[in-house]
Amino acid sequence: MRKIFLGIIFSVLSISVFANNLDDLKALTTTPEKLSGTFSQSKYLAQLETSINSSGSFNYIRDKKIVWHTLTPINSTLELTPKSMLSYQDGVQVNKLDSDTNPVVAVFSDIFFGVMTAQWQILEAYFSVSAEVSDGQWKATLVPVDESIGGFINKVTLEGDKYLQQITLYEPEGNITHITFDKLQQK
Amino acid sequence: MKINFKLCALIWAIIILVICIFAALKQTAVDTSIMALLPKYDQKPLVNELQEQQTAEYANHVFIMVSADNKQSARSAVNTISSELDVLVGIADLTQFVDSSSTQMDALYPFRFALLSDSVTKKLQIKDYEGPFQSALNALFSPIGAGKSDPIKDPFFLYSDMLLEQKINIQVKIEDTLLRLTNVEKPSYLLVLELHKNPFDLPTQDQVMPVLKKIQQHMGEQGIRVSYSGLLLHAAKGAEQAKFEISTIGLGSLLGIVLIILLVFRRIVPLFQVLLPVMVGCLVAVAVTCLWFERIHLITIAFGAGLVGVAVDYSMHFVCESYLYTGAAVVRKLFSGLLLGLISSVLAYGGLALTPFPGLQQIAVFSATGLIAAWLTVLLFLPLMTTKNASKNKQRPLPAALILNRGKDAFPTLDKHPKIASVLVITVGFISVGLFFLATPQDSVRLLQTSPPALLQEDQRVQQALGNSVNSAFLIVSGSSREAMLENEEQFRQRLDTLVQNDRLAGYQAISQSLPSLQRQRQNIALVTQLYQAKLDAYAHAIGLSDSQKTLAYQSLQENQQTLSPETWSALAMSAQWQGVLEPRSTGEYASVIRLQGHLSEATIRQLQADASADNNINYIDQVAGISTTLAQYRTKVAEWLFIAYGIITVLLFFRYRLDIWRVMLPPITGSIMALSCAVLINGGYNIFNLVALMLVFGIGLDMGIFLQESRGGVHTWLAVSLSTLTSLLAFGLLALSQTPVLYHFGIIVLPGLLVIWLLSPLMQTSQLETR
Repeated sequence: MRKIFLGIIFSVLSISVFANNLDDLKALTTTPEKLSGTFSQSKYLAQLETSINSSGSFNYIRDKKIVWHTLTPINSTLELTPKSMLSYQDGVQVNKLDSDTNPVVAVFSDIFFGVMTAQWQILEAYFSVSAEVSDGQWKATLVPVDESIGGFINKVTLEGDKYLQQITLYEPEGNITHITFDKLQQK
Repeated sequence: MKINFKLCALIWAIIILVICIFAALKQTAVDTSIMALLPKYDQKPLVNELQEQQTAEYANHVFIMVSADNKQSARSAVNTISSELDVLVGIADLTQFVDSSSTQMDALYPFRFALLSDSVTKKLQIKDYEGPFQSALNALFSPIGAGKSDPIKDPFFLYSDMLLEQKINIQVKIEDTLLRLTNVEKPSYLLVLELHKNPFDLPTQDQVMPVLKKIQQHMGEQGIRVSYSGLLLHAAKGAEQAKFEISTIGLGSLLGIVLIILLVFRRIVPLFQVLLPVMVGCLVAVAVTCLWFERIHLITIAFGAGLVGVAVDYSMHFVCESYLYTGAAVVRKLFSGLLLGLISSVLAYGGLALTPFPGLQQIAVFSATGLIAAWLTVLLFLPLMTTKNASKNKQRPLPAALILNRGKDAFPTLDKHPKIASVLVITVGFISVGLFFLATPQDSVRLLQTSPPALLQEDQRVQQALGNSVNSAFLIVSGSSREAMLENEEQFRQRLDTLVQNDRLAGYQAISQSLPSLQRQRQNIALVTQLYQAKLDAYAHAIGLSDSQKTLAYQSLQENQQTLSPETWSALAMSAQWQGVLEPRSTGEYASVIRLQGHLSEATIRQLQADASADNNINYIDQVAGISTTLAQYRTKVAEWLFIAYGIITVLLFFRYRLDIWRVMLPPITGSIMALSCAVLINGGYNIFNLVALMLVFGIGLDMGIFLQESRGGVHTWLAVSLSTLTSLLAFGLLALSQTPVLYHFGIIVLPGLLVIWLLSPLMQTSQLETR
């Protein structure tokens, strides 16, 4: 399904204003079949005027599964497939949401897959994407066009070289989540 | 006597006119829905009310799926289609789905401690505070924003947790105000058209169908696929097919009938004389049925048309005899035969009214009134119209009658050949015993499936895209008040949750999921207070809340303890799909519907039925699964009534014919059994429509026997009998060629049945009487 979906988006892209930059981006970024690495995340909570930090490891199999394993300060795992969203606490499943019955999960899953695997075609369905490319480095800014996700996300910026290196997510409440990746390897 | 005739004829004409005018003023729709045939006797009025409401809700929707190769053209096609559907204002509405965007959902934020997700409630009920605490931390550290997350006003993210549990029953997501289907490969969007009237309403069909067809066609030219699903499409197709078949098969048989009558009488006038009573009979039958019932069912019309076959007997006999005698003499000669024929037929058909099945009741009313009207027309109108027949013919027997009589006389009569008679009786006996034990009843829904495969595939395509979750099964929950209803629902949902947990049920939708009972809401607030007491300290420690922030969190809990009232809830967009649930029903009770999702296994259905019957406030309803059961019930009822009718008629006729009764009864019995054997041999079983056709065979066969007995071998009797058989064969036997299952199963019985009866009848005559 996703492949056909991609094909459709390609044809949309050809009339996009940002076509050239996006083409550059696509040329620059690679989304390997499998990727793993570590991350560190800092979430600024506007109400508390403080940041909470966490770190851990992640891996994904493109189009199939993303595993987000937070190791400190708590041990929890988020497992995302195009059809569901599972959370584990100390290895025990604590939550399961199906995108079939839950449209919000379907959107979340789409976006997270799109961001993590730098699939601009998917992201274009929800955001207007503007990109700056220079010297093998790139930075993309995503602003929601779909009002149903405008309630959750104000803006997303992505930065990277060959791979995605940093994500910053701006929420309407003022919360800002900043994630940096390290030790990326294709396996 | 003569004045009486004219006066009576005039009165009768006025009555016909009045009935027809009244019927014409009341617009009655034709119904092909099997639901209309469901027996109503064993249900509570409340259950009936909700069942009808659900049926209407399901039946009145047309789902429109718009697919294209790319998203943009699909979206613009959706917009074009919506504006084209604007012409249907007043007939159908394009339904707006609940918009689950965050803004309107925020209306529930003040009630976040009263409206908990099921999973959180369940954990808190067993004092599992660690679970919600850990998932709150999870959400806090999750890379995905947790939606409306505020560590002070809602530290355990109870609100976003509740939002995430809000489910919808079709596989769609909201994509920029449009409903995008998620279960299909091509970009596809969903539009839902809600009809104001039921889909069997002919004006609705005439207005909506051309628009839908036009859209499908010109979108198709642009490479955009528009698919429909809904009862309307099937109802319209059914009506179209019926029209086509009536005009082809019907025209064919009409031509045949005209040709035969012209050949026999060599004049055109007798054709009208024969057909007038039949037409009056049908007209009055339709009119009375329309006045009596809200809708006429297709099956009534199919069977009712068969009535012509019986009614034509009366007029055929009269017209044939009128070539020998004048009006009054014909009446005198035929009266006893006509009266016996009428009484036996009306008894046989009218008795169906005693069954609790609406379909059979309609047939009973239709047949009884139709037959009486045709009979009265024969006796009152025909004497006035046929006066010239005898003089024109110079009172000579018709040539055709002489030829037929010669053929008939060549047949041996059974009472001269007891051996042949006993062989026949034994054969018939054996076959009927065999049929009784070997023939398998068929009650499949396919019997009623008149839609062509292409239409069914289109329907299936849309239903698949929707996730096939439109289940025909549902539960009705009742209560003496709104609160009681909600509490009952919550109580029963525990059983459903167990089924869901064990993967035996895909899911369900209940109003108490979005509007919990006040009792449950107050419990929830108490549970959350306990959660705060147990875990807020640990939470504050984990993310570094200050003491003052902790106090603020407690304060927020204290200040937000209001419960969601039904009134407030009704004003929210999310209540749209539960319209009317909060209003009292006609019985003064309150009742809601729990919609079940996904495929239900046999075991699950049994479990649900058992659970429902254990609880007075719950009813399990599955209308589609009920179709086969309904057909089976009808089949049994009709079979029973066939036996009873044969019994009653036998007793009745015994008083007149004494031991000669076998001469009247044997042909219809033999004909019926032979016809049923044919149907069983060809189709591997028999069904309700075969049995209903047997009623007709019985009626015509009986008339034949009675007339042959009553006329004592009159010159024109055999001609009349043969002619009415032949016309019935042409009119209904040809239905065996029909593509519509209901009509086909009708024809496949009438064709061999009448043939056998006609061939057998000459064998039954008394040799003594004939010589008189």
